[in-house]
Amino acid sequence: MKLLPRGRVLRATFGCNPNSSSLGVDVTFLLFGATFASALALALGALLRSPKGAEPASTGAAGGSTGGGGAEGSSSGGAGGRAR
Amino acid sequence: MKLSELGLGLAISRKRAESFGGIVELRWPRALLHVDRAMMRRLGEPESALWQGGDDDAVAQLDGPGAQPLSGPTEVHVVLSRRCSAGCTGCYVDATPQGAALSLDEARRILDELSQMGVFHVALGGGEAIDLDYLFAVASHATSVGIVPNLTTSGLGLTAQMAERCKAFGQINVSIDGIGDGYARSRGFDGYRHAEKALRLLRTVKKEVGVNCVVSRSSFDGLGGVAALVRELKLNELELLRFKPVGRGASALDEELTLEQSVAIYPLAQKLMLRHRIRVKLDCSFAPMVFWHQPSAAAAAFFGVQGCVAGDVLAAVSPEGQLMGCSFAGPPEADARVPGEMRAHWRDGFRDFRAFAARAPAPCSSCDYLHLCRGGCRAVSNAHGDFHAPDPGCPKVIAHRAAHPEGIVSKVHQASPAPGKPGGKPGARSLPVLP
Repeated sequence: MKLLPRGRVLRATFGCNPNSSSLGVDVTFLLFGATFASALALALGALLRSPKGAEPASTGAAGGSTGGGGAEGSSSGGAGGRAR
Repeated sequence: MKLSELGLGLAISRKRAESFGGIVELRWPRALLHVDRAMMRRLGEPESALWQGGDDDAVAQLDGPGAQPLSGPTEVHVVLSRRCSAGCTGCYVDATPQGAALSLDEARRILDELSQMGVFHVALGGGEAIDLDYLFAVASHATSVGIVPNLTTSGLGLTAQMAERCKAFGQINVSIDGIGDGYARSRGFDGYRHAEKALRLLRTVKKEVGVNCVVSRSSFDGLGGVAALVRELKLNELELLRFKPVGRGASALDEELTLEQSVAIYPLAQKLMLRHRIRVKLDCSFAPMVFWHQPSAAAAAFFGVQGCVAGDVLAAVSPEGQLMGCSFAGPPEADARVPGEMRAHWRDGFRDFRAFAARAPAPCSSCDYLHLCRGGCRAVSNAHGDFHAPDPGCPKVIAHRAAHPEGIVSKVHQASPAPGKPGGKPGARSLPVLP
């Protein structure tokens, strides 16, 4: 069996933004610095590799290459079919 | 043994491919994770046409000079209307009781297309969105197409029955710029009692309730009181939003933060967080004020601490149906009401926003945080007369101007006029240079 590389979490943003401007800074997390960020990336990576529940479909946002479309995109025609 | 066998693991609700790998949305904790291609493959994602070039090169460009915009925004601010009877003096959409509004059908079609673009969250606002009798139908439709609807409201007119229906939203924030009389001083009308009542009603039905507080020169000293309210009501966040002189606030340049306040806002946010044990966020326009304190760039990148992300992470749809990079500034890029227009214009549009880092003038060009900060807030620069200039409220820019009194002229401004509305006013005065 071919082993896949482990994969990394590169960025994490928590919560939802109800605002007209994007959220620039979550003071709560930034305060703890790079060491905390590295540890969190490792922890999230490990947890992500052990997902709960059914495998989700792709949103079909990114060029249609995922072949997904998913429940989200099903309402009006599926993926965009565009690459960058 | 796998973590999932121990009951550990993360529940994924959606994911989409990006050039660096992809973005994964978690159901709990509610989060968006940028992951590399290897992780996407482990999560079962087929090879994507976006995955050109080496895997490591793509990751290295995530926040670097070669960074590309996302394949679609992750969050879109849908300004449902310019209708509101509050008449706040600084209203950035210049809302009136008879203002323009998207129809329910238009809003639904727009949400359908945003879903196809892979958008994860929408922020519904206005105007006063809860005045619209179809607000909950819009929220329901967003959920049905896989988008988390979020809401900002003044709380005016919110009843217990409406609060119950607000369970449909992800996060709901009530706008409170000061406590008691401080509210009236900041917003120009006395709505504090209604706002606090709305917070209490909402908090009884859900946990994801917070406060939006516009930080202006006059509201700055009252932030401690607002933080105390957030703690008292057990709200989940305090979001501090920088005052931007647009809409009805365009003439209120004297409400912009002083240099001393700009320098103090990030330490103050930390202090409020620790003292009241609440979550505090600062909006994207505060990025220059945060980077002035030289936080860890690695931590900032990991937690998505960025300046202007318009036309990349963020987009906006106006009540007139215009797709824009941001609710506060930038030219209309497409008619969002026309099916397919938003997707068609996303890839090559928003050049005024996306090109800043590559053409940044001094002092941004030599700033270590350029690719995170992206020159601060374009809306504020635009309000001061040059969309392409560095953010005039950045302490570093103010210091640079003091040392170079001949002024800063953006490279783009020499070749083309400032784009779009609002602002772009020739002769608008600049922030005073303080020593």
